[in-house]
Parts: sequence; C-alpha cells; structure tokens
Amino acid sequence: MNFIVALQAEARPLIDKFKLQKSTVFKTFRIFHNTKHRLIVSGIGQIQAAAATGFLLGLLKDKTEALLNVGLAGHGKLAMGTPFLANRIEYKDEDSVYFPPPVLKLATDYSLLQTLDSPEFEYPKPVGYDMEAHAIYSVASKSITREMIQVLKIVSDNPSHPLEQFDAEKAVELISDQTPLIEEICEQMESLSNEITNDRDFLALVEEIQSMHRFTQTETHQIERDIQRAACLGLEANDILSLARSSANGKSTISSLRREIKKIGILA
Amino acid sequence: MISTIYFEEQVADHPRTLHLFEKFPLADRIPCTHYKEVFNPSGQNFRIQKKKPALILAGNSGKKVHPVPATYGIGGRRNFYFSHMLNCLYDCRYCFLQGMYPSAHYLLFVNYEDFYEEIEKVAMQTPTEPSWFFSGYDCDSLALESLSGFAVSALSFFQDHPMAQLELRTKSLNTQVLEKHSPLSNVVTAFSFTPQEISVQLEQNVPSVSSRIKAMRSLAEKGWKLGIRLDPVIDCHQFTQRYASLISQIFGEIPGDSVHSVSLGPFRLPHPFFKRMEKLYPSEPLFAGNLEKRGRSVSYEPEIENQRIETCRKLLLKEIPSEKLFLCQPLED
Repeated sequence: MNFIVALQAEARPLIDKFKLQKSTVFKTFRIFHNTKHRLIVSGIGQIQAAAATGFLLGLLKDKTEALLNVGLAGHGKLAMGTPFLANRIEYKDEDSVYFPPPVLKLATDYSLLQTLDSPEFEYPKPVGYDMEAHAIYSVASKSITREMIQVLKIVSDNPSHPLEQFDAEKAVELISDQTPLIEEICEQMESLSNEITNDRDFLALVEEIQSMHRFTQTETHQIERDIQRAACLGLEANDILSLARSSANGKSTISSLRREIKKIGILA
Repeated sequence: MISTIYFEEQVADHPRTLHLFEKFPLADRIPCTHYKEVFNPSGQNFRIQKKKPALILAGNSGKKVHPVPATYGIGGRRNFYFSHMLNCLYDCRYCFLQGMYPSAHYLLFVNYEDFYEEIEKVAMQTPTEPSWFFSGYDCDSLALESLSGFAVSALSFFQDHPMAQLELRTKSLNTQVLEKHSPLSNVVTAFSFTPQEISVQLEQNVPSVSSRIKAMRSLAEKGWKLGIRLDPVIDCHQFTQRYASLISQIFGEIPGDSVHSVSLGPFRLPHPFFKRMEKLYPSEPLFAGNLEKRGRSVSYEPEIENQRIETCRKLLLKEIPSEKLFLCQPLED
C-alpha cells in the first residue's frame, strides 16, 4: 500500500498510525515505510506531485499495487473535517478528466475535485479544491491499474471557514480523525490488489523452475504461463517440480508440462 | 444495487435519465462530457469493476444497427444487431465482453427511439422481406429490464412493425414484461444454456437451468415463441451425458411447437480478446485447458470441436426438425 501526501503535517498521522520509518536511502523525497506500507511526501503543487508520483512508481514491484493520495482540500459545500473520495478529478486548463473507478464499498462522501495552481478562496462550485490530485492521477494512471489509485481528501476550509493560513496542528488533527477510514480504505484496496496479483507460492515455484534450466526470453514467459495452467488444472506443485527436474533443458520442460496439460486440460 | 451513475451532460434531462436518478436516489451522480471518458480509458481492470459496476447513461449518436456476419442467423436472410446496452448483469467466464471492453460498467444508451428509427429504416429497405434484429449481443436483453425498461419499449415498437423480427436473448428469469404483454409473432425470446454442471463453474449469478426452463415454459404457455441457444458449446467431462441431459430436460418441459429455433455455436474467441481474458483470470481452468489458436481465433482443436457440435446436433435432431436447427459457424480466417 502506497500513500502520497503533499505535506509533512499530513503525513504525520499516517506515519504514527502505521509505524513507518524514514528511509535513509532516498534523498530526493522524504519516504517512510514499513513492510507493508510506503509513504512519500511530495511537496505542494502539481509539479512536485507529479515528480513524487513518478519517483514512487519507480519503487513499485507491480502495477497492481495500490496508491492512495491523502490530503486536505477546500470544498464549496461539505463541512470542515468531512472526508470525501474524489469521483472526478479535473484541472481547469486541461480537457483530461479522471474518474477514479468507484470500487470501494464505503459509506463516505464522494465529490468532484478540481486541482488548481493556487489556493481557492472563493469556492465558486460545490466541489473540492486541491493542488495535487490531477497531477498524481495523471502520472500514476500511466503505470498503475486505475482502480488501484484513489484520492481521499479531508475538508480543511469552506465558505464558512475560508482558508487564511496553513495550520500544521489543525492538519494533523483533521487527518488523525480519519485514520480509521484510511485503514478501511487500505484494507479494501489491498484486498482488491491481492485478487489481481499472482500469489507468492506460485511466483516461488516459477522462480525455482526457471533457475533449474536456461530459458530464452520467450520460453521464460511460456514456462510461467504453463506452470500456471498446470496448477489451475490441478497438477500439484511437487509434480510440476519433478517434471522440471526430470527434463534435460528448458525446452523439454515446456514440452513435458504441455503433455501433462493436454491430459488434464478438460473442464471438470 | 447501483451506487454510482455517470451521465453524459447531453442526456442529463432525458426522461430515462431522470427516471433512473429517481430510482436510485442515493447513487452518486457524476457528470461527463462523453461516456468514452469513463468507459474507454486503458488501464482499467474489468475483473475488479465487475464486483461493483457503475451505470453510465449516454446517448448513442453513431451507427446503431449493424449487420450480423453471414454465418450467423436463425432462418432469415437479413440479419442485424443493435446494442442499447453494453455489458451484462451476469459474469460468464467465457463471455467475450470481458475481452472486448476496457470497463465492466453498464453503459446504457437512453435514446431508444433513435435505435427504433434506424431499425425502421433498415427494415423498410425490404418491405416485403422480414429483417431480423438481434438485441442480446453486447448485453442480456432482459436481465436489467427493471432498470432499463428496454423490452417494454421494444415490444411496443415491434408490435407496430411486423416485418421487423426481434430476438431477445437472455439467461434471465426477468420475463414479467413478456408475461404481461400479448404474444407477438415477430418476437423470439431466446434462452442460452450450458449444462448445469458447467453453469455453476462458469456462469456466476446466472439462474439455474431448471428455473430458466420454468420461465420458458411459462412464456410458451402464454403463446410466446422461444429460442434455445447452446452457444458456446463447452467441452467438459461427461460431455455427451451432460448435454443429453440438458437437451432432454429442456424438451421434456417445453412444447415443441413453441420452439422457433435452436442454435449451436462452438466456443471461440478472437485471439486478442482471449489474451485479455486469460490475463484477467490466469487461474481459470477454461482458459488453461486444451484450446488452440486458429487463424485469428482461439477455440478447441478442430477434431474436438466437430465431435462436440455433432454430438449436440444429433441429440437436438431427436427433438426438433432440421429446419429449426442453426449452426452459428465462426467466420473462417
């Protein structure tokens, strides 16, 4: 699970909640992590957000990893402290509009979100206003499955409480209040991500077999798919391994496996 | 059931849009300029979206009626299809929609009248020869009737256009609209089947075979003409026994004279669709089994395919005359 936030104050409640440690490896952006979570602090504005998103993408192992942008936002209608998921993200000068797919099952508010180059003081529409989400979605959606990119904003200012100056302690408080919701979002996104990610046992099996023989680039893909086919047709991992061990080389491993698949490749 | 509705701004005030807003008052409503902004972007995951599809309301401004390949049909010479909706309530693993569309959201074109106008024009090209219009290619014709109201509206149109023949294709029990309407001689309601043992493995959320047969019998009793579609034919263990049992179960309950047509079609997918579906469901035994690439399609080996189709053909010919049986052949590459 990956988080991207603009400010250290927005990061602090997540760092505390998930007990994240600051990485000493990366100097370009502040990155915090534990074994399951990773958080990057981008800085304010679209350029910083795009750069941080790009940097973060470089650290991901799989395009099915989840990414949640958490941050504060102004809103033309919602009350202060209200969390909302962005359902449409637009940027004033661009035609490109993003619609994060509504895959989460939550009883939270949803809202349109407009990303701006500077803070909004007038709140002309009943929508959210931020300075990063459009850039984040624009960059992230080139690499990550769209369902796995979501934007959660918490209303920090609105027409009744217009933005005057940034209050770090208030930011911490607003985000802290929503950590149960953030946890729930993480659980759901991770669960969806797991569903479309190959499981570890399978990957370990593939790795072991690929290390037994030499495979060309094409054969590497073929053997991976054939192992998967054999496994889902009911061939046990040990039998697949034995087959690979008894084969003379990569090519014959593929042939042997395909012979087995042929025998069992009919629907039950 | 529907918690998110995207709508094109141009159909925001359409009566069907307003009706659906009313029907789902708690749904989150999100405007878009064109449905393609939501439906078409790459990088969406059909499998995940299928868990909680949104509804997209749009107007179809392009060509709405398309010719059907020459090797498909149920007796007519002029065959066309149209899609008032893209995507389906059900989740059948063999369904080509998963490989064709980037999104699993239900896309409903609310301008039915524009479809009918085009259907009328096409039908009038040969006023003395019937033209067939197939409605269930890209969606189930009845499954989302309570949401779309499509069949109610279509029956009204086809009632006034007897030379236009309509096929409603479905796996749904949602047949009330037909039950309440007097039967039309130019409408065939076609039910798709695989044997129950296959259905439970591959057709998620689809009503049981026996309940579909019951729905068919009820329609037959009301005088509606029925179609039976064994398409795709799926190879499996105990193939002959299972298909024999299915066919005998259907014809044991449905009076033969209510059967307008039966069609048989081998399992086949365009290769790019198959690759996408395989990637979405890498652990699906159907995709892992004995299929092969033939030309631009993926299908069973010719010998298996021919044997299975022939088995079904023989079983069916014990129940119906050959002029009611149609083989939907894939186009040769």
